[in-house]
Amino acid sequence: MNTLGVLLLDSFRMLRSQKLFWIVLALSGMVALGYASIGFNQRGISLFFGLWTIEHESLQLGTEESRELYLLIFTNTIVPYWLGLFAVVLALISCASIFPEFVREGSVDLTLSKPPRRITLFLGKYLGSLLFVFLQVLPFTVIVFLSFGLRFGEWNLGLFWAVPLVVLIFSFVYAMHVLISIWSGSTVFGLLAACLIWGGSVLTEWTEDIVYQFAYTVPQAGMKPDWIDGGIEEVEPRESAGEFMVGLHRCLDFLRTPLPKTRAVGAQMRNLISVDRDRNDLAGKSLLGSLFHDSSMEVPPHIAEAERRADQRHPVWKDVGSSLCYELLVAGLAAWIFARRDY
Amino acid sequence: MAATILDLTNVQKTYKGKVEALRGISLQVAEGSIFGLLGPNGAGKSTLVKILTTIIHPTRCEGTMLGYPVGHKPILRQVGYLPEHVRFPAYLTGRQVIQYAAGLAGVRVDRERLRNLLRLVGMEEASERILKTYSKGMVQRIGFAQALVNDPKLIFLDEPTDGVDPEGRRVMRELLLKLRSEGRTVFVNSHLLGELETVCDSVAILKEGAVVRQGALAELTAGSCRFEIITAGPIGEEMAERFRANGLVVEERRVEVPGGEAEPVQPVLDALRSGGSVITEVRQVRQSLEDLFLESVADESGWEGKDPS
Repeated sequence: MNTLGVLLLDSFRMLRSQKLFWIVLALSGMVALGYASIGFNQRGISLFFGLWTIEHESLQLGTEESRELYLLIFTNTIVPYWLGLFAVVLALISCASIFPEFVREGSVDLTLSKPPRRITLFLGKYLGSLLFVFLQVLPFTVIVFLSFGLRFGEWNLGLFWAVPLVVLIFSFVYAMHVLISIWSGSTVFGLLAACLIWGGSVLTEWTEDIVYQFAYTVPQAGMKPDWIDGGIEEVEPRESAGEFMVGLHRCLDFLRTPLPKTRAVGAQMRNLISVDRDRNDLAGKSLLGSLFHDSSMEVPPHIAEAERRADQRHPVWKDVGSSLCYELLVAGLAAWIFARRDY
Repeated sequence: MAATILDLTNVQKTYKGKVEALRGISLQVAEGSIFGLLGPNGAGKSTLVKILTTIIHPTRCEGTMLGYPVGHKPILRQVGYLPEHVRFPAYLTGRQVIQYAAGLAGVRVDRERLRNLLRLVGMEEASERILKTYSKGMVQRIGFAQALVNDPKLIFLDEPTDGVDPEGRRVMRELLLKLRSEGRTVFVNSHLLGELETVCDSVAILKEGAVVRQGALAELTAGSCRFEIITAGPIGEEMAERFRANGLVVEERRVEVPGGEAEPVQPVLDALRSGGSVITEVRQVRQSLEDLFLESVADESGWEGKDPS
């Protein structure tokens, strides 16, 4: 077995020995089973493997809406909240001690005195940490894949995008933890730094998103907010709001560029894990609107266009690419410190 | 004459803040020998071993290890190392620790080799237990086994008997002798001078980052070799003066004759007998390693007598 294999096997053994690994795996299994327990029958949507049924005409077995809803529960609820938030937090806690333990006196001596180069050792440990998330998300996704396939006879391989994307999101956050814990040798400092950068980047992304709405989407949709009375006035659609909003958005967009974009990458998951768009006759409609037969919730074309432009304002390659650059820089700095330091 | 497996010249290490840990170490270790590195706390023993095993980057280092420049990573495939205060992953079993070390060293270890190593260190029965159930001595034995997993030509042991019980120390001593008999070179850092004395072929004594004594143990202690003659009653003053005039050390009931040869002792014995003294004991005295160590590291600050760890 080569060095990387040895280190990955060691990481696997370490994870297997941690109670938290099994707890998270069990929680993951419960969430996945909860999802699998949702079904559709002739009356509507059933929960807990048919124990409870909510009657609804649009959600009867075989309808496009039921299929879309089942997928949306995964992409809009489970992916962002369970996989994108809770699973990442738990993985961060579980993997927090890996690098501080690795560089502790007596432990690091053993590995550094062996023939592999320090960079190889670092990479092995880093990839071993990502293994945690991989091992958590993969079985989860397999359950979801099987549930979807068995419910609708559609074997949507796109669901497996969740595995690399969640690992990617975790790695963006984890890189900072590794840098700080190698630099300081402290698990707590590492965790704090990771949470700070994660929170900071999510806040920046969120603020940029809101400011963009007011700078571009709202004017393009032909709406004008009344900042004093709080109402919204319908006006002639225009390209953008005033100079101030556009300038503020430009600043925030600039600030967002070098940061890891966990929120945006999570959103990409929703685009990648999608039903076959050719078969989807719900395009341009609100799912809730179609479910509750509320025509007022139909989205007018110019608003749909404004929302489409908002969704596509940051190309995927740019968000993923710049986040990877961030990770490369931070993890590279950590590797450099690890390679240069005396132990 | 045995080949030199480790030949160091001018090894220096200066930490940030201009702390000089090593100040130009030069030493040679012969192949197939047991070499002891001694020194008080902070002398730089562990720093030197860590430089040789690439754990610490030297400020300056000239010399070779197994024929390659120090720091040449691939040559570590032929080197074994047991660090001081070693910390193995607590979730591994003894057997897995050895396999992990073998994997990092890039060697395959089959069942037979694994069993032999475990038997060598007396850990065959406990090898399937995880490390957190081991005593310190057991961890140290597994550490020893992992240091040998790659069949090394040169083995560094940093305080190998630290925390090990007397029986474990005896086993460790026997292991060192066995390794030497197999033609391997063992480089030991230890503060247990009595143990080193019984196994080491040569030693170097470090003090404040510099080598103050180095050589074969027998040669280093030969200069202090003497005979002591003990009498039943006090030696007469006239005879004592005559002995002192000839360079002997005389106390009330004891005469010291310098040198390791027996011939110069004979006239002293004759003189004592003819003077009516009854000789109760004649013994050859050689300076112990501890004496040598204390003499080497003693300074004006009165370090002498403190724990040489």
